[in-house]
Amino acid sequence: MTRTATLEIENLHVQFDTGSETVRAVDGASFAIEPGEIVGLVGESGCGKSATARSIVRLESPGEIVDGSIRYGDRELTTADERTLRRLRGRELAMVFQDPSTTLNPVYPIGEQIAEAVRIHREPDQQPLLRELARGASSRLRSSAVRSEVLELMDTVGIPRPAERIDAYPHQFSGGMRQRAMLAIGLARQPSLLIADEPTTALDTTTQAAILERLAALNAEHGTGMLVISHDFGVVSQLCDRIVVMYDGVVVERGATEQLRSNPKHPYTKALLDCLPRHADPDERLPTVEGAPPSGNAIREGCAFVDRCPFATAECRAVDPPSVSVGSDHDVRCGVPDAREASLDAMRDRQSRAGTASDAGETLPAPPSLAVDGGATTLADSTGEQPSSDTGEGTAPVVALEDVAKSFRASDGLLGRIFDADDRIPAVKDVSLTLRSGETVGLVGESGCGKSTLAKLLAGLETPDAGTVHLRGQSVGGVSDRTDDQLSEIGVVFQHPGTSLNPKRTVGESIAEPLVEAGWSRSRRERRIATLCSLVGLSPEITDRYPGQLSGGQRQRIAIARALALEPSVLVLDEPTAALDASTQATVLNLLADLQADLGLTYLFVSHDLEVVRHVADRVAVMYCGRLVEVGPAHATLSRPTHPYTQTLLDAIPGAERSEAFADRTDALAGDPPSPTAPPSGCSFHPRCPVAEDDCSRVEPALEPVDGDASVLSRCQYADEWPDKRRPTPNGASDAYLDTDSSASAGVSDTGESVTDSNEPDQ
Amino acid sequence: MLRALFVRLGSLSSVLVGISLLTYGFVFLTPGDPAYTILRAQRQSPPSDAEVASFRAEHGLDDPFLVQYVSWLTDALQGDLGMSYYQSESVTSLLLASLPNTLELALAATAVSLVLAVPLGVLSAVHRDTWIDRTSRIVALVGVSIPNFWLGYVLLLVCSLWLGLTPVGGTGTPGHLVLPAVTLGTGMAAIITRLVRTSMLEVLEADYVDTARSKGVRERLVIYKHALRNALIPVVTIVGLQFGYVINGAVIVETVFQRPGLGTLLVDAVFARDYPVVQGVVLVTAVGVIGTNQLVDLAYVALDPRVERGDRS
Amino acid sequence: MSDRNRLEWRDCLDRWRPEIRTNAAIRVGGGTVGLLAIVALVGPHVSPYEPTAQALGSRLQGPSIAHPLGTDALGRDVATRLVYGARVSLALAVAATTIRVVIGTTIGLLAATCGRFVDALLMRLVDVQLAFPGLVFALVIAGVLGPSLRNVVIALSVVGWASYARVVRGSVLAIRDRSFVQSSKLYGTPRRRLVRRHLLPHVVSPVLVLATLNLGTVVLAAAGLSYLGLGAQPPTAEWGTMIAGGRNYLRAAPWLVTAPGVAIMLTVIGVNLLGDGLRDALDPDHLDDRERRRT
Repeated sequence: MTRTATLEIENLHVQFDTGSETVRAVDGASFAIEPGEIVGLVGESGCGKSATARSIVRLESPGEIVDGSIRYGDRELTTADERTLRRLRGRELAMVFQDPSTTLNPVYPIGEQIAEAVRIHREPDQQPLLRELARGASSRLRSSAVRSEVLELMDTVGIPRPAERIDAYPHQFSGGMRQRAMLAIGLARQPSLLIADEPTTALDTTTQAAILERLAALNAEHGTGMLVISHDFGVVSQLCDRIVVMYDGVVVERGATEQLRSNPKHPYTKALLDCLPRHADPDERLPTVEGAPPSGNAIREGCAFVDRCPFATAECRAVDPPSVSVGSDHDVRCGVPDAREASLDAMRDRQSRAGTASDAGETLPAPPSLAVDGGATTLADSTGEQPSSDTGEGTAPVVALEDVAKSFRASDGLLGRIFDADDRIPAVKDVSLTLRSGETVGLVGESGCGKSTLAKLLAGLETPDAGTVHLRGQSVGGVSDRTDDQLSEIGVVFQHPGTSLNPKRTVGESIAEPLVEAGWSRSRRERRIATLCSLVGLSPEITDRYPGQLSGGQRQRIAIARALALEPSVLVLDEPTAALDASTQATVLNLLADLQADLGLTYLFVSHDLEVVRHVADRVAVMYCGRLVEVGPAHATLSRPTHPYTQTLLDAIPGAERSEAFADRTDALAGDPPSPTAPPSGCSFHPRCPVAEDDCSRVEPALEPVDGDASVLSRCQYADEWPDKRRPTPNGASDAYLDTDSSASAGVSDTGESVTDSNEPDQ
Repeated sequence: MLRALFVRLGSLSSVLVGISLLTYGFVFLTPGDPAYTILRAQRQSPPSDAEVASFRAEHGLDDPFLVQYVSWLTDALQGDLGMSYYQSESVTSLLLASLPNTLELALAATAVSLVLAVPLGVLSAVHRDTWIDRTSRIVALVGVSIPNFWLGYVLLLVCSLWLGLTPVGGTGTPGHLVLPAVTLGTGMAAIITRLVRTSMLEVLEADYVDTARSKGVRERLVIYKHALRNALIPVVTIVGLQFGYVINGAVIVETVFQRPGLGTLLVDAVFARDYPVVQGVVLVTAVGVIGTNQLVDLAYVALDPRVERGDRS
Repeated sequence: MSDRNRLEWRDCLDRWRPEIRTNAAIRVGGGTVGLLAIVALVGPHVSPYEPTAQALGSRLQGPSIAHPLGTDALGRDVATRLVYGARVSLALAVAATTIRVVIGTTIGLLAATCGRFVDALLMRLVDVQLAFPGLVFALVIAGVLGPSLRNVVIALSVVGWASYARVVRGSVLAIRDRSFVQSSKLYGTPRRRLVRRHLLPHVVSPVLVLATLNLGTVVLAAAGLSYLGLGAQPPTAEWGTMIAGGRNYLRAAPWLVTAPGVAIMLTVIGVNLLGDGLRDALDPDHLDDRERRRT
């Protein structure tokens, strides 16, 4: 591509009119993207980054650009006519949207959707209605002229065996493959700028790593400029040359990635970087950003961040902060020199001091026992009084799973059951796991690996097909078979704060529910609810509200309060922070740490995020294909894993350094997990494993202690040897990966996955 | 695949058994002795006990219900639905005589409704909240709310009596078909317009529509190639399910326009308590509904690749 | 126990009150229906004529001051008969719809909560009901039972419950796997209370919306049955019967058919508007949509 146009956004304002109010989604954003450059746009949800990206290709509707300019080369896009925009979209500016499950048209084959982009790229002004409709009607690309080009594109983005998949429909593709198809559609236009809106947010970390590498490779090979939008600093800093940070519709800081990461200037950037679990020691409290982002509908004077900024001055409230240049190509919108120069530590100090004073309405100061703000001291106490996992052998297990297994039916119908009695899909296979008093066990794995089912088995929401669940030494069944005392022992916090509370009942009613069931009197209930609210740091007034009026973080606090109502000793936390922004995640994680220290709780912490698990867990259990493949102390397992799968997960963390043995693999990370109906023979990980030996496909390894250390268990027969291997990826391994993947193309894996998905929550 | 077929046939046959049972069981809802009531209706005077007894014997009404039902069903499966009490003709031949008229009306009405509704619905959705949308929504609302027997008379009054454009009643020429088809089609068109509009609005919000736009696809193609194709999937179901609506409407519209057909046959038979004919018409319509539902499912497979053959329950 | 129940039956309309007040469709539709209800209740007491009083001397008179909508073939005042007819139509529609809701909701709840066998059985029953075109089925039932208003109610109730069963079952199944229902199970909540506390409230809005939209269909069907001669019997004033009575005078006295037709149409438009408005304001899915669009 020889086109070299710069994209310049100047003082962009985008508004949404919701009928009752006007929300200013973008409120003066300015930045530029040079040709061939990768720029990252980061910020929390609702900060206006998507609206900015969509405005570039003029798909901001239902929003409206009310001010500012978007210039691409010498063309002004805000006033461009439809025809010019079509040509630009077809040839220069390509966009990849967030959720690959909804961005591909379900009724046309992948190939046709890519081919359409190719055709438009060739002749943007030639789109005969009838011929296109006819193409849609018989949309198989058997001998089409663009077929070879489409195949090439599919190959470029890493879709294996494109010839077999060109006529497949989107629903036959896994999430990662769909996002690759979206990339192919983008690349079909040979764009000079590719805009990717949260391109990996809906994907597993392993798939995410593969897609990010694809993007980097495309930039290197074709010089495609990119704008990558993400809420994840890790993603952006791994990929981008420059980073733009947005807060409440305003660009607060922009600069080269290295500079911005090592020397952030804006208090918000600092806070955001600081919230990430990977920046904190496991024993430390995560720094948080106090307060909530402004709602974007009030007319604002001064700096957007002022209410949450520990350095805010009176002037910050009165006038718009100036844009200050703090280095070559590094600008920050903050007029307070102290704030710009403050170190992360200084900021943290300042924050915790200011925190208690300037608490914004909803978040109460924590109760006295929790108010000691040096969270580190509290935790230090707790580690002192509670044995950590390494020495935990002496403590009696609270909960023990013994060889539990669970499978689900593939088909639900009455007659289906009669005709096909043997269509069960295993979700959990022979899992034994023990939770000792006061410890946190992190359960990790890719989606569909069975970790949520395992959590439900423990909680009694599913009953195991085989094996037993022991609670304080007694064998217990499902919830309906448990005694009241047993029921009150375990509390559960579910993943989606949106669905975990009944939208038609007030928060107070939701918290009261377990108490009502336990037969508590009204006055006792009310006292308990007040205690619970202060325990999770919410004001009691909140109990009269409905969940729809609360933020995600608040809802999750409510869910935690409800789980704690009957004073359980164990909390099952199923991805408790997966749906939350980084800063909210930090506050929730801190809260959980405080509660554990205060109440001596035992946690089963289910998560796909290894950084979070590293931060919270004492021990880690790694699940793959329904089985535990590795169990061990958190710090050891997540630094020196004994199973190649754990290493794969670690390598997939954005920004992480690849271990050498795995360095050459790119796409192998994204090999989809095998179909649960037909798992591979031998070690179920061998098709994706870079260090697999020949007999790995035959011998089914057992979960055994490594080096005779009973605290570390691994399901790899070469657990002692593979970490020392330093060899490039053999071709055989990647072929093997292609083989697994092709089963997905035949629809086996995908239908299998979707069937499990739909069956798993089924009672 | 085979299993899915079995499952489908299994549930289908259980539904068919239910339908036939109900269809035959209607008769026994008659307050008092059906035979007495039937004879009374036939002769317009109370029948004697002997007449009732001989009627019962002749039509097997003395047998237990199940025996009667099984023998009726066995005959029905062979195409024999019995003899009309009233006319000296077999029910089957009466049905065969009136079915074509009703089908003709149904098809014409469906055609009228689709031609009106799909473009109107699409326009309404694309120009959401403009005067086009508002007008078409009002038209659709009135269309849904208008009683078709009344619409029939209004059309008759205006087109036939005042303007003299169309014949007043009967069948035969295309002119005879116009008013009934329009009367019946209006209600359907209104329902389908609303449905197309809702469905289109939903689809136009979908991410893949933005994907298409971001490719540089022309807006008209975005609408007709990417959005409409998806929006039609739920519409097809409803159009298929409208078969029941058509039959309902035919009962009324045929009466209004004095058109011979299943509807008029049924109404006459109900009043005459000509039960074999009633059972015949009900059975045919119910089986027709089931049949169109199966066709709809087939159409689904063709329209929506996500539906695997036969798996949709 | 009573304490528990009180918590459960909160008036969920409270939350939506602003929506309901600002929705134009609800206002217009509700106004129409309210006006109609008032006419039906009060009208008969103030109208100067008897609905069945014949005055053969003033047959088939056109609209005039004395008879704003003219008179019919027996000299009866059409306006008076319309007002009395409103009573019959509304009573019929409300009665039949109520019975449909009760039957349908019960069957839908049973299907969704009593295991797969019951579900399969009841859903087959629903399939059977849906296989019969409603009016045909109702016509036959009413015909076999004999023409009367009571039998029209029975007939229209028997044929219309299936859609409620489907909607209720669907809503319950959709809500059943949400985590708040799961978490309720964790405290050992008995199934009955689970249904009442978490599932029923989510069923209320779709059923309410469906019932309102359905009311219009029932008005049309009831009038249709009466028109065919199976509902209200002459000389009772009923809109469908009035159209049937006026059809022979189409050319001579078009108002005989027009007036009741317009009355039916306005009623149904009002009810449908109300239903559309309620759907927009109450439907939980729509609420979610709006939430989603807001972010």
